[in-house]
Amino acid sequence: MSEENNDISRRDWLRTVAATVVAGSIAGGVLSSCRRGNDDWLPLRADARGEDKNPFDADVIVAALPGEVRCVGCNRCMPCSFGVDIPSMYKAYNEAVRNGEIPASGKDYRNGGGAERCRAFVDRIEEEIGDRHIAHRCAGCGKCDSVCPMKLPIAEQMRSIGRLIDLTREETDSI
Amino acid sequence: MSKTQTIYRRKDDNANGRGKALQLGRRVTAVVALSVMTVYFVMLGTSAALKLKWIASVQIVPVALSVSGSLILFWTVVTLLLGRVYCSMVCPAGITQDIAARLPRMSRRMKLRRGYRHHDAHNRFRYIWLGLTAVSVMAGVSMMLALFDPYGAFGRIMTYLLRPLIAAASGGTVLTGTLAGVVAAAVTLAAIVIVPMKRGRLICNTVCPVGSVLSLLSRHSVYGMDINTDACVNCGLCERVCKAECIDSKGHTVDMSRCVVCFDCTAVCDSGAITYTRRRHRLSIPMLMKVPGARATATLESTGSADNTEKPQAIDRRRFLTAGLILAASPVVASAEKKLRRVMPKEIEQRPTTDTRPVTPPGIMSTRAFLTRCVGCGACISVCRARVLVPSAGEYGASNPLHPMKNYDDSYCRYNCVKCTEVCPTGALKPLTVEEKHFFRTGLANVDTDACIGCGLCAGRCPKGTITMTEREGRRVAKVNHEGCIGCGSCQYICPASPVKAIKVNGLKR
Repeated sequence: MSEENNDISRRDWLRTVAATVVAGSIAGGVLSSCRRGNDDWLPLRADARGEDKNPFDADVIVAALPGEVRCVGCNRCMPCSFGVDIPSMYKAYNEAVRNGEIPASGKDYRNGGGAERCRAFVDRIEEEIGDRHIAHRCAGCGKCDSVCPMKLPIAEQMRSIGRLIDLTREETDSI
Repeated sequence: MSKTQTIYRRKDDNANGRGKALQLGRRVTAVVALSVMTVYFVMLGTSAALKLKWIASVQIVPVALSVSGSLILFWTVVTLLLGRVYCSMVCPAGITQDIAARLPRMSRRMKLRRGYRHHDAHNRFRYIWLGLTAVSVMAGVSMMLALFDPYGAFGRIMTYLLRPLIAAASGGTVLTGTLAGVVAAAVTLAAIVIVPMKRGRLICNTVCPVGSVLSLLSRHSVYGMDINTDACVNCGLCERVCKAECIDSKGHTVDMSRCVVCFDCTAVCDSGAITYTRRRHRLSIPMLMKVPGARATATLESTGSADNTEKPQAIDRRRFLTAGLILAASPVVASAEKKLRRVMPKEIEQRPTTDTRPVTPPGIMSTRAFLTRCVGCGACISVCRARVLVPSAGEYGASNPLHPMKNYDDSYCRYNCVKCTEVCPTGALKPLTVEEKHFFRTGLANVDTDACIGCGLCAGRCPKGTITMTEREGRRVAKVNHEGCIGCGSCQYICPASPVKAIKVNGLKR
């Protein structure tokens, strides 16, 4: 091959590279058009009025928790219309209280590691009782209260435990 | 080859020392890259995994989709300079194919130690395929890109096959996805394991969009494989080890548009004739000798095929697409040891919700941009601890399979969680802060007042406080204030109405 061919090929090579770069920039520009500006965010924003209140106030939730519950397992409250497995929930809750998984107060909650220690309790009831039958399904209808021989405030306690479950899920699933 | 097996004279005993070093470097880099990617996907969900997110962010399709200018420039320059090093050292699907091709060749049976043969490039096919992919992406249909993106394909294998296996083995609950995801992942895995055993990097040089784009750049790379015809003894070893099937040992040409820069050829050549060096733009032939039928190694006129007399063969797509075995993943159900209860809890019968528009994860620019950018890698599905993200199976249209959507029947989106937006490498989900997420609407809840039983569970749970109980036709029913609703699904999750949920979240139209 002669020198002439060598020169041409190098220039051609440069030309090809330049063409690729130009084509690439055009492609990049087209792809960039997929990116839109911040204007598109407005319709996706929910109502911004009112402060962002924290719906998961640990102090309030923990303060409402009962201690060990004296459920004898008579099953008169069953079957709950909303599917809550009340005796099993009480059994698991009592076990958790004995294990120290349930905080005694807001201070205890914060010092004891937050929602992580309740996670074991939530995992256990999810596995043993099933998500459709745990305490947060309670709607507070109160039919169980009227038949309980131990006069336990079942609906109130189930709702409190349910809020603890929601708080635990919120805190441990978001980290 | 050891010294005692010499059958020809060699000038230099260690003529391929540099080649062997390059090959070792490539292998080490490849193993590291694949390991990091695997660990990243397996560990998704732990905070440590986010430190490894860079391995996903440097993959070429995510770089292109997230339009990260610096990385686009980086890969363009690297490929123009060095050739398709991405394909051998960073691409997870490519490295997997290398391992799959190598395994049978390490056995002692001669039948399994088959060499590769030179094949012509299927340029017409692969560039038309690339063109179709590009056009469809710009039209908003990303299915071709998503299905054949090597990062997305590998991600799906991790998300729908490996992670469930690991979860099952460690006793947890399984199936981060649906049957569609498992089938797609299984077919992909079968393809990238079976095809390389016979035909090497055929997938990389036909259907892979990354391979086709990079081939346009590497065709004229500065550095490349070059055969010195003075030193070449025509043994054909390089052609036999070339997994991209791009070396024609008779014609002494290497098609750099298909070469994946694995350095296997230069490591095996005992004469040191094929080396990785500055490419010449003129033919190198000894003064008086002409090699019949050969063309210049790297002149611009060459289209990459040594024999111009043959027409490029049409690839038998059907053969390698149907080569995948569908592995049915047997769902391992978590054994819930139900203790003996005297009275079983009531099982409320609820049909799954099927009549709502799919709800996207938070952080999207618009539904259209989300569908275009998502490659279906499943990273967000893997990282979602609430397990509310599931892969779609046609809800977003048949052309957008395996994109994440939310299943609010069995779970709900946690109010303070933005993990899915943190792991998306293509920019389909932009990173959000927790405060931004509190106001980011992904859907709207709607009450079916006929089905609502007025229990008030939804109103008690709504984190934005938008649901109130009102009276309609003498009954107590729920009412949603659409201005505040962000579509988190907490209400739909808890609704106990039978036979269908009375409050459902609809995804947004745009």
